[in-house]
Amino acid sequence: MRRCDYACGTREHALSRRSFLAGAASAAAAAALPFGGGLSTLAQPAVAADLQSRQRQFLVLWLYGGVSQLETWDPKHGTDTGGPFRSIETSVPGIRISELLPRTAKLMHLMTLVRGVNTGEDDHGRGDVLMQTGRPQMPGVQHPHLGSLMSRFLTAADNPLPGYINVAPYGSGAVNAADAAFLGPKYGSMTLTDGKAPANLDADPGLEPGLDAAREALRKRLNERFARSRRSALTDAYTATYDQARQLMERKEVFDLSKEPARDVERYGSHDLGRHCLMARRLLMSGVTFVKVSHTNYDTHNENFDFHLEQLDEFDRPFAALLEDLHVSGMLEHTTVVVKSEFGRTPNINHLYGRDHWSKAWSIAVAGAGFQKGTVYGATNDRGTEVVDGQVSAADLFHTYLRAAGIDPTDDYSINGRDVQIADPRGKAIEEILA
Amino acid sequence: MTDPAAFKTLSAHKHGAQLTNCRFDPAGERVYAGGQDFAVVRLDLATGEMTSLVAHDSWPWAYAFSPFEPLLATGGYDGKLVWWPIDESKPVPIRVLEAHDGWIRSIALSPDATRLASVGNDGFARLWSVRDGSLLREWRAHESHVYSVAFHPNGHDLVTGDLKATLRHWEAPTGKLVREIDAAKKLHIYDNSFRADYGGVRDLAFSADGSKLAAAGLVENSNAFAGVNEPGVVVLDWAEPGSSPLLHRANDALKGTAWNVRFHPDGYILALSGGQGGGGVLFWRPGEERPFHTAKLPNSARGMDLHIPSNKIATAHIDSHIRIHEIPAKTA
Repeated sequence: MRRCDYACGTREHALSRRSFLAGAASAAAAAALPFGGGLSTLAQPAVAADLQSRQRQFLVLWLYGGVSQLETWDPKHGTDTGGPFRSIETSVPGIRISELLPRTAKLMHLMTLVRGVNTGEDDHGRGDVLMQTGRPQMPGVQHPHLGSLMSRFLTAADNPLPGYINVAPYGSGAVNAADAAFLGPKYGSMTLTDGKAPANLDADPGLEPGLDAAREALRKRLNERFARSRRSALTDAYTATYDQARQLMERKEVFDLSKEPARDVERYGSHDLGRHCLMARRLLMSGVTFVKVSHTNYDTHNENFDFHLEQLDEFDRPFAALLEDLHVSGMLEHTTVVVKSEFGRTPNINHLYGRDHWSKAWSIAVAGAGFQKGTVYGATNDRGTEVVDGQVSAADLFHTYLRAAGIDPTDDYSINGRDVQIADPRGKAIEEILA
Repeated sequence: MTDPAAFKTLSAHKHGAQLTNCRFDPAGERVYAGGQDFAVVRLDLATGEMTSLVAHDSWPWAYAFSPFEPLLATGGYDGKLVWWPIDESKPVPIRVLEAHDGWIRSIALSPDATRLASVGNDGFARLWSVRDGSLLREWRAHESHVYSVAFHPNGHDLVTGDLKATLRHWEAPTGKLVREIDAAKKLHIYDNSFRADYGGVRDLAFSADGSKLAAAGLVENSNAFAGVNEPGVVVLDWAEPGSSPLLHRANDALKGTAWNVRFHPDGYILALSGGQGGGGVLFWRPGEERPFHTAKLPNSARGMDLHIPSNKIATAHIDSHIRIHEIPAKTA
């Protein structure tokens, strides 16, 4: 018999004591949620208090393709690199952002801008890996995505919902085990393609409830007998997936956007990202640990300004609505928010009125739990061509996200007897922006 | 008769910033171009002197000259309409209007030079009095960004074109919609990969007798965010636009966008295409899909104008130059 050597209380996949305690201290059993939706339910003191006692949560807005920092967080109006858009004042005097984000500008007091990002990777694929995992892509080695880490460390054991959900314009709708790397498929992301509910959430209408229960009981009995002598990582993954599918079926209303009030649908917008951000709110309210909302596309080598006009108009309204809702409900106290891309875009404007890939001096935005509010960290020069203060790497950012969520990035996994630091040891957290 | 095949570049004049669009003054003595440094750049063709006119807070983009007085109106991406007295050595604005919420994309002067039409990203068309700058009329012209506007030579009709290549024909005095024209829809694409609208009617031009309308833009797009597309000009019969609109295209591998289009009295149509390797000015005969001549340019241009009396063409380039070209007369 081959010993199961990856879990079950063995040493090899155990968390270190510090991380376990940190995770356990913030975890809470997932309470039943008012699936009727809407923010008004959070006004009830009992509900708000319940949410505040909950586990930490994480929201990422992934602006795929490389959003221009000059058209968002670090405008250079009036310079040869600035382009045609002007900058506007925000709710924090002295902090100005692009005029393309008027609603977000009113919420700057909840946010922090990190303007000195230098990640040194201009390739989409490698930039994606770098910003999702905090480590450069290396052949033969995969590290978990941030979402999988959060799912692993923050999701309560009895939370019936997936710990990492990706609300994306496209995708297969399956669980992406690769995101979790060596953490195991349980912590992979589940994609809601076009923000829609997973397929097959409804039971076969031809199946009688009594028959279904009997069948399930038989399945469990047979699985348990099999596992007594032939349990492996594969059988556990299968069982976990099957159990989760069942739990999702029992909670399918979590994914039902029709339960959201019409006024919120209007506030977020009926376009794709509007619906997706409203779904994100619903998922967070339901207790999902990590939600990533992807918006495509920002890879504007051609007509950068026209396309950013269009894309950021789609982004500004629902993002501001979501951030405000998280704040008003109190959820922002335990939810960390990050807005990022693979890289930024060149200060130079090319002959197609475009901007190309640029990782030397760009920006991200953060908000919520663990972060200071209403500040800017780092700076670029007057043309945006280099970082002149507070330069940070992708690894530094990753350390910072983990610290904001209450996880020690210098702690170790133990993988087949080898200690691997959770975050790239070459990075360190940006203490200046942590609360 | 002119000979486009003999197209030649006469001069090049460097500004301190990349240039966007350009226009000749009515006399053909000066060219005005928009700079990415927010200046309206005036080039005196006789002396080569360049003067920067500064009033916009973003890229100047659109130009309209009065044929009866020394007056220029410019529209910018700051939403401002600026009126300039162009007979002065260093013109200072005589009027600045906050005309649109967002970019002004195009302006056009009525043939009698009494009204100025402006359109932009806020979806509105606005008519202004040239005499005192007062707003005469405004209406919501399109649901998406309005890219272009042109008066019919009769001065009564106005046409606008938007990002989705929808053309709308209006009664200028009332703002009443006469008809919607879909014949130029080839100039729009929704890119499903990038989830964005692309294309649009980048320029409009009526033939001198008003019987034809040309709409310039792009076609055959395979990658919106990389600009992999060809320039295209759709020519419509104004009386019956749905009857066989003709698409004029480039030859071979010229990739780019048709930024500007003009009708020449010698019967051909010309358009500027930007693109890799410089792009060029394309010349088509009526009824022919492919150009009979393409005049290659040394650097990618984003704006063009034709001065008919002198047969000169001005182009505004990304290398910060205004270039002046000539279509010589045919030699025997």
